[in-house]
Amino acid sequence: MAVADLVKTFTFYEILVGMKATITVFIQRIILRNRKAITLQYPHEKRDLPGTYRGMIALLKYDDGTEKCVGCDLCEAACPSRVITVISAEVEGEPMKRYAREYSMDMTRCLFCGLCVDACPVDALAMTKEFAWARYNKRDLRLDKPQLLALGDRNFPEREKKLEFQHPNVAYFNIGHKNLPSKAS
Amino acid sequence: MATLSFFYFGSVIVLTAILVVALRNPVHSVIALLVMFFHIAGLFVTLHAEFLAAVQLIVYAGAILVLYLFVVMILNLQQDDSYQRQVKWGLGLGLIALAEIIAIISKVALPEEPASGKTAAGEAAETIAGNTETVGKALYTTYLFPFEVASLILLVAMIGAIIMAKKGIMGPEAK
Amino acid sequence: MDMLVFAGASVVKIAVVMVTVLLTVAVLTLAERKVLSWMQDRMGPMEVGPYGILQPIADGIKLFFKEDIIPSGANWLLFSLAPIISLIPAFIGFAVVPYGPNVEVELYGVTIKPFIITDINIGILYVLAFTSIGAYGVILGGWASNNKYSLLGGLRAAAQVISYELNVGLAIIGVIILSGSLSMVTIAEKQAGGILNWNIIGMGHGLGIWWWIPVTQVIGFVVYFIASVAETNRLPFDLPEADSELVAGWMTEYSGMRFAFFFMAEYANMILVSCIASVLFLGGYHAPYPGTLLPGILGYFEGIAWFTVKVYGFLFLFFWIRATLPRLRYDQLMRFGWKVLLPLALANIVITSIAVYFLR
Repeated sequence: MAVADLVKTFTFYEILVGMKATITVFIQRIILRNRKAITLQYPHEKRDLPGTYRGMIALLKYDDGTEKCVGCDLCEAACPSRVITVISAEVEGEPMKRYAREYSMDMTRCLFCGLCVDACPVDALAMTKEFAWARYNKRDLRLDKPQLLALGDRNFPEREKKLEFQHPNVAYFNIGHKNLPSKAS
Repeated sequence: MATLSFFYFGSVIVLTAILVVALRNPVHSVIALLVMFFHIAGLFVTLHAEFLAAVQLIVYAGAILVLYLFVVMILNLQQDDSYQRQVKWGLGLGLIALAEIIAIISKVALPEEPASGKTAAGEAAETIAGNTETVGKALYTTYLFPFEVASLILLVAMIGAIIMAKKGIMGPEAK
Repeated sequence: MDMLVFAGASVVKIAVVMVTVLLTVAVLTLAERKVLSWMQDRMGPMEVGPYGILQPIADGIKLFFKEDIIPSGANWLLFSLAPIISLIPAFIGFAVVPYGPNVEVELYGVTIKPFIITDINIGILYVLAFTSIGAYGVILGGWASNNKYSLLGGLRAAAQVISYELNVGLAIIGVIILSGSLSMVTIAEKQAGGILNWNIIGMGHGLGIWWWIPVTQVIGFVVYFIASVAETNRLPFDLPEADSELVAGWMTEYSGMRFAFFFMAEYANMILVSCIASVLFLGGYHAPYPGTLLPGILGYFEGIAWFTVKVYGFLFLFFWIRATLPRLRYDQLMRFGWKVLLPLALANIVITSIAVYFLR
């Protein structure tokens, strides 16, 4: 046993085993060509992100182009990092119907937990798969409403129908029901 | 040509040797010493002693001076001027050395044309036997005893250094 | 006139060798990254040019135009001097390497050796002398940066280079004893006639059919190779650099062209060490079969091709070892150098000299 160990030491056995491992990979890569690098050439090839990926947050619209957001401030209350600022106001001429007059997100603070998305009662917020948002100026990461809506337009081309069209019963509190659909036809 | 190169090497050696003791920054002194070793090696080359030149560089510049540098860096001397107080000693020893040099120079009159005959003889010797071989032969026949004595002295110095560095190597832990 | 022709031919030879070495350095910077990545399931540089082959040019341009920073606490003179001190010895050693057969060509009445820059009778000592000077660049660079990491890197480099230079010097003494000469040209010439006559096997020195066994320079070769890896500060002996502990050691404060000088010096040293190893142990420009396959002048170029193959083989070995082994600990490095390699090298000298004394 001791002799075997000595022989191993003097012939650099352990080192040669390690070197065999590296040269095996080398031969497989270069000569046999039956092994691929695990590297992904990022800007040229991108990996598939899972459906639940939590990227930049976007504001959504209904299929007729109106904003989903009703300015309820629940997302602002839910946010642990105080990312969201909502200033809500009444819709002109439609008392009791509110919207977000100003809506901004300071994405430098966002930790992408998704609590605002869960908190939203009308599903106006969604998380996109965008992540390459490095900016030279920190202020560029403070997104206002048009930018957030643009994010939503960009990432969710399929828009939902208006709430009262999909659930006429629950949406009944909305008294501005000018477009109320006729009963199931 | 030979005289020219001699005077070049000689003057640089003298200059850098003065710089070694004159410069305030010890690391700069070491660099001056390195330049001096190079020029001494150059002097050896002009004398057709290439082996000595290479050994000069390997041993002095490559090993001993690196150790000097090591020590200087570890001690981290910041322009220590303590040696400036040794003027009296330096002056005395310097005067003795100067007298010696004058005595030697006055005894040995410089030959007017030393270059031509001597270098030809050197080249002839070189063609007969390799320079290295000649040094080796001389070292192991004519100068065998001094050589062995020198190696013995070095061995003693080495053992002494080890004993001084490794406290407690002789028996129980000696303070 | 004769002097002029000789000088002109020498300048041309030096220029060719310098350009070749610099090009090889450029190729090596890419080759190292590529080989490492191929061994580690990666791709290496892929962006600049097809498969990244223009990466060295991009690196060169980047380093050339980078801001040249001298730290405010640094010693300006030594800080500027250190990269040059480390670069010059790395290039100067190529002067004595025989790149091809020792043939003479008549040119305007002057005999010129086209494949050898110069054949000085202490060739190998000359190389050793100048590689030992290369350590000064590292040490002074580390000290002049006025940075504790750099200083530690420089001191480590000093200790390591002194320790392993000794082993390099002792490892090649076996070869010198066998060849009876310090000239690299003579050493290469004595290994003519096939792979068995190379010094690593050692059958070509006129000893009997079985008595060559004690003079094989396998131990010398292994010691030389390990020590030269350590002397060029390559992994697994890259303690002076030690990216993870000393943040690149003595190079921490360097940027731009000064850093490029250190970089070039490291790669040029690798090439030099590979050249010497192939001349001393693997027969230099001699093919593994006796003589040459191609006739006449083409045979000379066959020799140069074999030399190139050997040198690149060594360089590949450098990369291969780097891809495989982790860095040693500092005390392990010192113990390995002084307690393992040094006795092995001394034993090699003793055995070789006894064998040569009794058998020749």
